[in-house]
Amino acid sequence: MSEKQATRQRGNEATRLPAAALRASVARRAGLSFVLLVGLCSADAEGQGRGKRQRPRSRPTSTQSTQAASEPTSTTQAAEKEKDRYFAVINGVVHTVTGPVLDGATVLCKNGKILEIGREVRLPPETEVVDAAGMHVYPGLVAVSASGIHGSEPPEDTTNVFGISMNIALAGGITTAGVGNSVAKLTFGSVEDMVVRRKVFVRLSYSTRSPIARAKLRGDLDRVRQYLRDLDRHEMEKVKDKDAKPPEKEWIKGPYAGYLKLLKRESVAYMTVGNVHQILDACELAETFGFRLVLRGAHEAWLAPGALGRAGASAIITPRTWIDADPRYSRQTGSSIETARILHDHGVTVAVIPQTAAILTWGVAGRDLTHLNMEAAFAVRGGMSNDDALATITINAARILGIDDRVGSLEVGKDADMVIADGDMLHFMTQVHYTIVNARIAYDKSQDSFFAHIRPDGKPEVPDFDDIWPRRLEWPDEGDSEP
Amino acid sequence: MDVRIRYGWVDSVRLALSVCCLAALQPALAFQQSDDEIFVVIKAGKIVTMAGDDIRDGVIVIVNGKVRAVGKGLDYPGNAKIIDARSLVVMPGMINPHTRIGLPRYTRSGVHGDLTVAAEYLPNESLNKDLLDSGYTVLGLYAAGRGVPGRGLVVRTGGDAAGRTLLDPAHLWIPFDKKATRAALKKAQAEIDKVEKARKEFDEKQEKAKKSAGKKTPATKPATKKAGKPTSQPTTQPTTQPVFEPPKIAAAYQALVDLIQKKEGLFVLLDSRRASDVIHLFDVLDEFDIAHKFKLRNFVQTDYDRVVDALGEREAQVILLPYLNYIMYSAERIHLIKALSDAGCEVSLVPLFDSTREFGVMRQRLTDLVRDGWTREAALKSVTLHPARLLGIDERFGSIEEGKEADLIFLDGDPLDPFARVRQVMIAGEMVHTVEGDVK
Repeated sequence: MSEKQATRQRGNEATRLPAAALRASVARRAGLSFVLLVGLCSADAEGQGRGKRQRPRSRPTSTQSTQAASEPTSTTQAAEKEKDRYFAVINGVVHTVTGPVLDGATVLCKNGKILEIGREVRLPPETEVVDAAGMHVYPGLVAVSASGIHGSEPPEDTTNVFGISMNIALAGGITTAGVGNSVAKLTFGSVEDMVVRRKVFVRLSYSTRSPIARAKLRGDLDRVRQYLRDLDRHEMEKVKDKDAKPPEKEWIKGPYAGYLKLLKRESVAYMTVGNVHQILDACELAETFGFRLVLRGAHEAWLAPGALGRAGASAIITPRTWIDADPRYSRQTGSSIETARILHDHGVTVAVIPQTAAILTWGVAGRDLTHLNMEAAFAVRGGMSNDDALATITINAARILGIDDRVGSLEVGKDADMVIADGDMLHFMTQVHYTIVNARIAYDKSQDSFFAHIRPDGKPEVPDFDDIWPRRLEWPDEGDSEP
Repeated sequence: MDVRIRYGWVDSVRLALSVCCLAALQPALAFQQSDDEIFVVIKAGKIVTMAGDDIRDGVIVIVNGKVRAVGKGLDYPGNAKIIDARSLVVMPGMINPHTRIGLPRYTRSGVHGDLTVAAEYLPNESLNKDLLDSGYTVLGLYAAGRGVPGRGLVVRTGGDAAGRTLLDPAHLWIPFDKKATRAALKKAQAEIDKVEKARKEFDEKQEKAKKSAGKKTPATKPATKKAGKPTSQPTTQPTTQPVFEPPKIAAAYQALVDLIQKKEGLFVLLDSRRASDVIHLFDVLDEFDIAHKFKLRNFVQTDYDRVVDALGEREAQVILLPYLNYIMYSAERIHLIKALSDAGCEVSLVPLFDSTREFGVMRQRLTDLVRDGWTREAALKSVTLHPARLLGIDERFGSIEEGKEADLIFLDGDPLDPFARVRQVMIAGEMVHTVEGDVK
């Protein structure tokens, strides 16, 4: 067979792939799962489980059919319910983010939490296993803020759990997202264990454009600080005089309650800032009143990284932001692609978010949450190391949201949220093959109706000519062929 | 069904010796015609009973508007009124369990469990004629709006004015709003708790009163002092046993309270727009164990295919639209109705829109669904027996069986034949609608 013929053969293969993908999606809808099940998983057991038709004990998930397969009789159902749910990802290159990269390690999870990470991990019977041979395992990505993936607050009541946005976000490797002032997981097809944290930030506005509001905020913070001092004094007085009156506290409600939480360092202030003046003002306010601060935007932060570092502020930035230098100023202005690296070097916790914190199915591709990992890759372009850039969309984002005890890295005891990709997460060719949320497969590329047909073999090679869109349904007849 | 009932004018005793068990269950007296029994006998070309196989050249014996017997070659009194339908197909009247046809465009929001749609309903004979013409004999009307807009009404589309209303108030229809639904149910639960607490307090008080009476010591403080009542209550034992008067439950929440307390016959019809809504409704139902049925709005593209197994496992009773759907964001077609039916759901179908035309083409839509792979039996049940079961009127409607109302339609062909049309409609044994000639 000549080379041309071989090429033609491949071309035909390529045209047939979407149909195969479609069939695969039908298979998924029929409740099949491609997941291996170690232990008992026979067709008989499956048939039994399906035929019984009892009210589901657990809410439906993408892997329910395999779960149901391990229920032999109804008498043991109560016991089954109490039974531990094991899940493992084996043979992958495990990027723990906060620790080393472990080649060929196993991540074993129990009831949605990571139980063990290592080479020689013994899997209990009836463990649901995903084989990640040749693939990379990362902690689930954390989008510091997002709109459209979940519904409005409270997310567990409003989210479209089968929505297209959630599907695409999972395909982008996102497992946790900020929604309004809460943080919620992308539990596809279920509302179980969706919300991670509520009331994350206290949003402050400290703009030079409205000096009155600015003065009021300062005054209010001062008043609350005074109240805290009075409270301390009262504590001391109480030792001497039991009838000492505590300071008035009826007025502490509404915004004051938020300020009180800020000054007690129970919550974090969230301010959207732009130029260096706003950044310095925000840092000064935080240092004066001693609260923790998160800055969003901050495109001129590269000019005053030390101020952020001293104030202990964190930053949520978009490395690709492009704002030209303003020629009216004699100082340096505008954005820099190096912002992420410079801030990181000054000890600032940096998280990265794309320009549009939502899933878009229109417009120019690559600027939205579909490509959160690409935004972090642009931080690498600005001089950040690969590992630090990976941290900006995992552990740093989790730290900023105050959920780093549960997500953001692969550590024992943390939630079993993982991304299994066919290459380096920051490489533009990398495709996510599985996204795992709470030890359940929330996204499986081979079964997905949008992505299954794209390089289904998972080889991150540059596609050859035949794979260029638009695909030809039939190779045009060029007349002569080799004998 | 090979039921042969021997019937003689004089010796009704022989009846008891009939071989078939169904006939054996017949009380012997039943065929002793008393003066107030009016017999109507239909000789039908085909009877689509919805309970077993179709009967060719069968007979339906109707006594006082109720079906007495269905079968082949049944005997009947000589003075029975004979309806010759040997060229026609007889099937039970069709039932639409969820419609607002003929009702004003009136909606309300908030919780109104005490209101029923009966206040909005005014029988419209010209509309009813059209509905009878399309074969619909029973409608389940619902109160529209947001929150808990009110209770439904089940009516016949024809017949005696006295027998028109079948259920009033009927079930509760709730549009999808997880927060509002849960809040309403929580409020209802609070009402129940309120009554229980009052009862507990009352019982404690009684206990205390009994104890103090037993000791025969004059109480220093009257037991009824709290609640701010005058203290001139007699401290001695009251002459009559006090009766517990439960605190009043807010009228608007009474229906929800009944739901939570599992009152017989009451259920909630939960509306949903997409698969996610069903998941959210499961979440609410995990919290409140109430009788429920589902309305799925399976418009053109749908993702309900994702909850087919979950609904099937619950053996849910669902109302669907007669669509052949597309999978969401895809050009792939899915026979959702068949899928749900196969998974174990009891499917009822309603016309696409509340227009007489859609009611009229409903049988054609069923034909389409059967052509695409659904079973004929399931398709016909989805407009007769299943909606009757859903509404809780299957004791009287939905099939041609002994004891059920003789609400029948007579077609000049098979119900799924697109050319067949309704020729006659019988309600409670009386012909109420007849179509003459070739066209309407």
